[in-house]
Amino acid sequence: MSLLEIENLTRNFGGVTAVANMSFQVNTGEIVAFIGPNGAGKTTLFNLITGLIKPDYGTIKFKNIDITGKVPEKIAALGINRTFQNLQLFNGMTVVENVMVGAHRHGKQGLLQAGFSFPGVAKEERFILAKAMEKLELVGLTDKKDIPVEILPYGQQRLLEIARAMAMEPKMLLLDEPAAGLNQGETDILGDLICKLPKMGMTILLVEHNMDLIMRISHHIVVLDHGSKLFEGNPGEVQNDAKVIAAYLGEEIV
Amino acid sequence: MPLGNELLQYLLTGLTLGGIYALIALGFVTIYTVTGHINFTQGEFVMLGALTSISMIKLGLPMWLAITVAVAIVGIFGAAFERVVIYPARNSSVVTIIIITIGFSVAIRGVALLLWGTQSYPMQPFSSGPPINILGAIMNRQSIWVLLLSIVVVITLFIFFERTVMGKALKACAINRLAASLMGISPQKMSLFCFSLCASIGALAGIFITPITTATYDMGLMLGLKGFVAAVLGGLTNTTGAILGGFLLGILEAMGAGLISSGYKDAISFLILLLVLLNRPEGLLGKPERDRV
Amino acid sequence: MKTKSTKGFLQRNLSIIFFIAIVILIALLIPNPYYLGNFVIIGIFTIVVVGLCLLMGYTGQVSLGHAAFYGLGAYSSALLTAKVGFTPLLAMVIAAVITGIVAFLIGIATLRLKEHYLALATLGSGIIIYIFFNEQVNITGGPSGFSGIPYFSFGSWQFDTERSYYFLVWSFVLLAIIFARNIVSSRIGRALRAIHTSEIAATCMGIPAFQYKVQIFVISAIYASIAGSLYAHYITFMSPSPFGFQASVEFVLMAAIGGLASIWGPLFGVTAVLFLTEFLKTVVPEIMPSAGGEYEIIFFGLILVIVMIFMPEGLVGGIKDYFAKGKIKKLAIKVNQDLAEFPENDLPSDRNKGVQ
Ligand SMILES: Nc1ncnc2c1ncn2[C@@H]1O[C@H](COP(=O)(O)OP(=O)(O)O)[C@@H](O)[C@H]1O
Ligand SMILES: [Mg+2]
Repeated sequence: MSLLEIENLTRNFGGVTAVANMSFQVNTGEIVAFIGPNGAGKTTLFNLITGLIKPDYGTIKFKNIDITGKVPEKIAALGINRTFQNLQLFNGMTVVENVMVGAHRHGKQGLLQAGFSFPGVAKEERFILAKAMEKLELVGLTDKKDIPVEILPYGQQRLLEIARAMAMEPKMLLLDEPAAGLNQGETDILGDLICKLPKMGMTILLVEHNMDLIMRISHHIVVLDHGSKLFEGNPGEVQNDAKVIAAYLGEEIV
Repeated sequence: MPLGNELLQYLLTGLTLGGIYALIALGFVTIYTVTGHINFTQGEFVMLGALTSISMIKLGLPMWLAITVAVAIVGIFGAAFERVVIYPARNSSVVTIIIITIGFSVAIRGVALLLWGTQSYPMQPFSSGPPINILGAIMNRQSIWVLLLSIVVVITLFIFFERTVMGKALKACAINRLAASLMGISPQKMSLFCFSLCASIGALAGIFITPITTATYDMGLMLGLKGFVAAVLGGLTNTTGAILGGFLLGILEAMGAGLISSGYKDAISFLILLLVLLNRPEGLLGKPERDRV
Repeated sequence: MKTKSTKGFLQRNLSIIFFIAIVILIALLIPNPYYLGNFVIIGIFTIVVVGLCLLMGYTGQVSLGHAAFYGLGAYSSALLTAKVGFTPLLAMVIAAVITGIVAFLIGIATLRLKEHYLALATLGSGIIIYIFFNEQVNITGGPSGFSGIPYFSFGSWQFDTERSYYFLVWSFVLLAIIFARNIVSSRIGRALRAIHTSEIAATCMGIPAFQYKVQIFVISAIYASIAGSLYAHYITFMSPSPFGFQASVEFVLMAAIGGLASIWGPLFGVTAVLFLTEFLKTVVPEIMPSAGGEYEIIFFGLILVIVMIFMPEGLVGGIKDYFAKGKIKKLAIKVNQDLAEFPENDLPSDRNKGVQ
């Protein structure tokens, strides 16, 4: 069953067509990778799906609901969360607080209830904390929980963003270059983590430049160039497609 | 008076006010584009220009010399302000800079109160003679000076930005600060120069309006706010927009005061500002900007 | 079991208990009603500034028009009691509702704007309301104002002495601080701080940023409104002058001096500023006898500039930073040591390599 259906999606920036008439589908439980050179439109595609920018044309359907042009918080509420290529952590907060923001939607108590300290508030707070700690455990940052995020090393900041996004327990998780800046050890941990996510009920869209990682973990690959879909297939097919090899993979694959 | 005449009268009053607002708005826009800061002290430069020139005249200087000296003093003051206050805080957040420039303008107003007291100071119009009658509406001779000044300043600035090395460097900074610094233009020097320039323009505006309005220690507050409103109406990053915004605001205000109520004239200008901001946050002539992820 | 939870309660509320003790101590130590009157004003301003800090410090949204909400509360209370005959408490509640509605309308209109634009929009809204106070002479009495506002009362309980009013106002300050602290330490508070640092990331986490901004804007306006009501029943005379742009600026300055992102900062900011003002009012005329007017604002402005340049987090933040620096340094060293255990560590500058 397809979870995400994208049809004829188009977005221009001035004269640049960042995403051009793109269509594809993602099935529940898949790990789908998007590859292509810088400027191919991968991040723009993610921004369109999460509602940060509006498409000029085309539709996005998630769980058969049309989410085209909806505001980000509504889209998130349907169960889509993401990480950012340029980290967007909440500086000034601790590691665990960042993840607790990700778990925001597990709470119901509003501003007034919080202000008057209604009985449910403290209980809910414990629940959110527990959720956050669970996700920190998954990325191995439990012992860093009270550290201000600013002083966390870069690689761990990337893992933290994934933990924060997971804390919402989304149906679909979009990872924008999660391995950028990670060392080999960290990349391996990341790969293992991503592989586990479908079993936890998450469908993964992944933008990555690290081909080893992609070939190892993804079920399906979409190749983008200048905003258009150039090729689509499983890792084996992508690896063997002459066009793709010539244009993008170069020697690195050999 | 027939309605046609009345409207013409308001239009002329509005043009005078608009000329002053346009000059102050130019100061806001130039500083904003070059340095990225909103300088709430701009209005105080206007006040300092006016009161300093009055003191110079009192000291016995001939009027035009007094004006020149006053503009120079305020220009130097603007540069000093940049070095002592803005430079150390240049990497602070937008809100911090807003608070700092507001705080400093409060301090300047206090100093002015100490030096000049609360009374209002009149000033001789630059040329004597009865007001000029234009199709039944009356225009002060000083108003013509104000309009002339705004035209001269705009043309001078235009030539400066387009034809001189310094002006081009400033423009480069305004377009892209980082790229400009890579080209060997020092954004810090440009910022210093820019504050000095805008302080001088503000001072000129204050001096030219004083024969019409008189000068007081707190005149900068409202004038500064109006200049900011005009700048935002025009798009905040757009020199032409600032000038148009200034005149638009001046004319609307004069019409509002005449046709609706003089007590509500400021309310009318701020209401217009809100309406513009809500419908076109980028101002009438600005380009919309987007957050980039 | 029971003792354990009592101990936790004490620990969590240590600063509150300390605060209550100081409030009582001041009342005991200062018999002179004039000085106690200063503390009434400090209390009233603190309520406004705590609300402003929720908005500016935590949520990162500027307001240069808060004096208008303070004025709306004051005028509504004054008119409802003096002219309509409501009891002060009822009037205070209705005033808060009126102010809340006005703030809601202004909020939904302006809070999509950012930074300079928001500053200007709130400033403009404030000035429009201020002009309304001046010009609606048949309602507000215009610039010359009106008197005859009753003292605050609570059933048959009259707050007509400085001392009783002092306790009334500081009870409200206590409530204001506790309410703000509860918000800040809740999931809503975290969401507000998230909106402050990255609104984009916050909305992607499912936080309705705009809705929360409007809510906190309304709450902070209601803080100002309640403070205004307290002011009206204290002064018992109403004129527009304390509610203009100047006052809005002063609230922001007090908030900034205390520390925008802090719950206790307002207390220090307001106290520091008002004490300094009083001090200068007595000292400056002795040094410069010729000076007249409110020249003490010079120092007010200068101190603010200095605080903002050297302690952008305000007095409370600055002091906290001073103590925290050592701790953070140690943490950073530890983290770097952990990092050194991965010898093959890629430098961040190597990222983005791969398919090109
Ligand atoms: N907010 C924006 N404004 C203008 N141009 C943009 C914006 N976002 C992306 N672009 C342009 O769209 C194209 C695709 O960019 P992006 O989606 O970031 O590529 P990728 O993530 O694949 O490297 C680029 O040419 C980029 O310059
Ligand atoms: Mg990208």
